Amino acid sequence: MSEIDLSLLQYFIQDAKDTLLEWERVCLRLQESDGVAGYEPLLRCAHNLKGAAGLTGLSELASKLHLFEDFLVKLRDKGKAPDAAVVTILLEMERVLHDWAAKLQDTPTITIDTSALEGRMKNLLEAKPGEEKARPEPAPVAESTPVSEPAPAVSHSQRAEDTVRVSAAKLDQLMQLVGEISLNQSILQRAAREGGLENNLVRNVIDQQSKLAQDLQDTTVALRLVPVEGLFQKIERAIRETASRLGKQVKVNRVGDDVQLDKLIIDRILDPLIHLARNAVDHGIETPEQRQARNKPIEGSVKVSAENTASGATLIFEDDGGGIDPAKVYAKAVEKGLVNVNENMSDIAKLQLIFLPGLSTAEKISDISGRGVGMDVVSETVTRMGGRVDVSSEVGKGTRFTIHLPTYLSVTNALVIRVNGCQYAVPNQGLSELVDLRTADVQVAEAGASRILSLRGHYIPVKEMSEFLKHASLPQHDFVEDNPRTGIIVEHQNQLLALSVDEIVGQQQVFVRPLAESLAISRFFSGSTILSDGEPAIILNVGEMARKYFETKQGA
Amino acid sequence: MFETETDNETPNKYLIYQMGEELFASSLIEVREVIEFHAPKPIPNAAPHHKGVINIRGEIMGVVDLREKLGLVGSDHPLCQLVVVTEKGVLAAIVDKVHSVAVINDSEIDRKATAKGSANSPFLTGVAKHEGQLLTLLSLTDALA
Repeated sequence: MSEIDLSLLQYFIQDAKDTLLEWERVCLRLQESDGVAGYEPLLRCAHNLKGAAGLTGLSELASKLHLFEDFLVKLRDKGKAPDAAVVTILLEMERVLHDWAAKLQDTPTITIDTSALEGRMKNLLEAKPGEEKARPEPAPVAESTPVSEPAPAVSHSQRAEDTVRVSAAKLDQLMQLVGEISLNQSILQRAAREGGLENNLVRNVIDQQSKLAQDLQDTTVALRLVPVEGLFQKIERAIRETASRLGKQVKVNRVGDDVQLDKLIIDRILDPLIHLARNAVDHGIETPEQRQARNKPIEGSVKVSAENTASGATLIFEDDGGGIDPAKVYAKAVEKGLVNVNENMSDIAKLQLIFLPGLSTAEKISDISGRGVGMDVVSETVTRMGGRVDVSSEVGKGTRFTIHLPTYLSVTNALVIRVNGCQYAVPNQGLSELVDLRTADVQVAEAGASRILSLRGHYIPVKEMSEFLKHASLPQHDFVEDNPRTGIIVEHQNQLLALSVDEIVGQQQVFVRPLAESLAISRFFSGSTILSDGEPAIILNVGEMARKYFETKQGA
Repeated sequence: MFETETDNETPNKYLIYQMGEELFASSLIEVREVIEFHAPKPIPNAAPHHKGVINIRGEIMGVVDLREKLGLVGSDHPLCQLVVVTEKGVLAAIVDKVHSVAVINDSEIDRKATAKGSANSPFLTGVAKHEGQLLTLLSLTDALA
């Protein structure tokens, strides 16, 4: 058994992900009428992946891939057309390989038991032609296609040439640097204006620079955009698999594959959308018999579409199933004590109740929809990213979910603090240290009110953060010596300042939203966010506080 | 809680609401939605009538006490906020309560007069006599700008 080459492993995992995405794409497009020629792209995928696995020293995986490749060759040589049963197995292979690749990250020596799948593969190959005809649709005779050697994987190698893989961390770093450039740019412009720079040349350069900084920012932000195609592909697959498990017939219609969204948004929206997809098939689309009785086409349809809007993008998820009865939703919500009885509630409002936590209109919890992700999670995920979900439904006709999303999402780790009774978020990158001011060496300087913290040989001025955050209506409470207090150490041009706050509430990941102009009233505010308790909060720029402090001090 | 529909809006439709003892009317086009009162989270360094921020379905918006801004004394327990899209972003304006939506014809409006009691301000665009009531017409987007 060969050694696993850890230096190649990362490349292999990425490669496998790309190849399997292609595999999935091919499977979803594969039709019985494609005949055995339809297997060719899959053969190339399996063959390439097998080679890469062997090169990386993943001999177990390579031999499994050899088995899969062999299966494809046999299907081809037997002239077995890719009918629904075959596609199910091919997709199952993708799932196994995908799991395997994902687990390699932590456990390079892992092997996954595929005996169940292999059994099904064997059964399929050995099945008599007569048994196959038991499938709902009659299999047309496959066209005989001249069998050729697997052609080189053109699409794959081309993709590798015109894209570069960059780690998300590096992109974040770039974003931050660009953000700083923009901030400096605004300081420079203000300085030029206020300082009365008469030199035209300098003026021009500053103006040019400002335009470049803006372009740089726009370009950097756009680096994170990816098309929704991959997301839609996974949704389509979830719909098909759920439908085939429940014996329903569903046609998937995808529109707007090329609409682009922030990769972070796509990653986060995936699970909720899969939930919507399964729900639509499980509870929305009726069985073929029910549909026939209702005079609907036997085949149900789910439409997934994306379009760009002024404020971001809108995803629409629409089925032509049985719809949701607002009265039932309302009755359930009242029964569970989630809402008060309200005779005047409109049908539209009743329907929105499906987003309440703890409400499930499904009569029974099935293994398909009862996966722990509920409608409330769908709604919460979307709103936390700054989006919104609307639902409309007509009983007997179908249901439509409209999901409004921003195009970009910026996430940062932040400390949640309390000052003067109000909560704020402070991005971690602005802080250098936290100090407990009760136990630290803090002295009152002779000058009077100002205090000095002595920390590892540094003398750091201590300032109340509330002095930077004045409230017109709230009483400003004064510093009390023995208040439990924490100091946030902030650096500005190699000088340190300790900002004393009432309380550190916690640490959390926050989505940064730009401030509306009406809220951009202070240089100490850098954005807004919704904290994990659902409350809105201002994101503070503590670096600006330090700058203000040291500049005022120099000026004095 | 209800959302104003964009389809059948006409310049003649007005939202009638109350601040203090007075009734006001603003063009329905100016109001994106009417929400029940959400207590704002205060934000520092803001003007006194700027009461803070609220989270409406994931959207963070500033809250302005319109009564205070116009120098009116309102109820301690206001019932509604009007969501208005201004040049400076979306704002929620605190009013005491919302009465109705009505069609006010131009013939009912006196553009020159201002109702007594309210401050003479550029945001007040006239007075309407409608179904026996005196309504002060207010341009919300101007008042909140």
